[in-house]
Amino acid sequence: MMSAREASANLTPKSEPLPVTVEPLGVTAPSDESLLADMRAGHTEAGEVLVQRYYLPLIRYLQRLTGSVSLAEEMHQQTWLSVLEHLDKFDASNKTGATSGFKSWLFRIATNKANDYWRSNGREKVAKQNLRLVIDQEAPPAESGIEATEQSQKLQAAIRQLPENQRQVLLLRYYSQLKFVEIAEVVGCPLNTALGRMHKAMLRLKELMA
Amino acid sequence: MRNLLQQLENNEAVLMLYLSGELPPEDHVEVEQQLASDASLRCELEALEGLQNEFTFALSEADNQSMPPILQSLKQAAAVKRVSRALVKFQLERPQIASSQDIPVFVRSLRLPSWSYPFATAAMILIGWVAYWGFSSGGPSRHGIPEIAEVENHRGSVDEEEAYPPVIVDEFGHHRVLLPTMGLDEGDVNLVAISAGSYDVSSMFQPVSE
Repeated sequence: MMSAREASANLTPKSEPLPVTVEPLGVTAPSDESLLADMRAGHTEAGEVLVQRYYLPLIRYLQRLTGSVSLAEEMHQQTWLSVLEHLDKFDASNKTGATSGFKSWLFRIATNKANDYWRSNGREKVAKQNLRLVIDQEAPPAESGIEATEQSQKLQAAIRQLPENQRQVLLLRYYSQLKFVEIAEVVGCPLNTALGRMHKAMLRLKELMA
Repeated sequence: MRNLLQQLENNEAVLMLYLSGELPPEDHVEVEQQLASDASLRCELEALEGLQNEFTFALSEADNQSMPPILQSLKQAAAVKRVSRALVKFQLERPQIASSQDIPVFVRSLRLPSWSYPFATAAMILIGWVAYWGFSSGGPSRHGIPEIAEVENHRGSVDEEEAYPPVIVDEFGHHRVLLPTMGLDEGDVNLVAISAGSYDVSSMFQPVSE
């Protein structure tokens, strides 16, 4: 029989970083908040650093969420334009995490952009979704120009089949690495709901991938 | 946060927070104790961890295969450039936005009080009527104001009833028109006529048959 300490040592997740991570803040790397302050003061270089820092997690989140590279790029740009537009309104102090206030805000904007898109294209989406799934299973997405592997296509198709709210929580967790409390805030639901959606999404993915 | 465990609805929620290290220290210890004593809970935790690892692995594999690193970095550079251009544009437009917001305030302060509009309208109508009356009547001389035009020292005959301004035929048989101008004398009492001169308009007339 294992002791509690041993059990937790075995079961506690390893500290390996996930493949997609936000660039770790070193000793000299400025925090998001200080970069934001610089941006407010008119230093465009600070904006570039922020865009660079969050490019990969944000673009991949949007790609998986929308299922389209070009749409993700468009939304990425729209997200940053929204950030610029509402720069003065952002207040890091009222966010849950001290260090991820901006990240949480950034992913919330991106999620809202995707929601707005789906809302405005709701009718078309319903009509085309099934057709698109069939086409995607036949051939890789033409716009990527890269031949994705069968497994990758299968995963993308499985993610698309998830309900919108489950997909958002799942992808937010993986790409933004926000805490569940923050994810619940981003998608605007209670913590229990966010956790439930995450669990259901993972189970459903496993089922679809099998 | 001490009572977070009580707020969570099911084991999956508790275990997901436990795995992600988001439980408060007291709750974390409590879960460890339960794991040590409950084998089914340990199985549940292992299953959940396996599920998470599976999902994480599948997504990271898919992301790595989706695009070669060099293409990814090119796309990233392009995206950063796009956003930084937008940032520069935004910073340039900012002062203009601020100044354009000031203008309406200034204009608003110059507005007249609401009660003055009827007076202003009445004044405009009066001015319009006076102007119309003045111009359409051909001058004040036709309305009781002392006649200002008199033909002075002209030679030849003139038919006063026929023409205004008078047309005369001079000693050489030429038709001449006398154009008077208006003016005030020094005493400003009587209006007098001043001949502006006579003009030969014979070419405009047919010779008068005697």
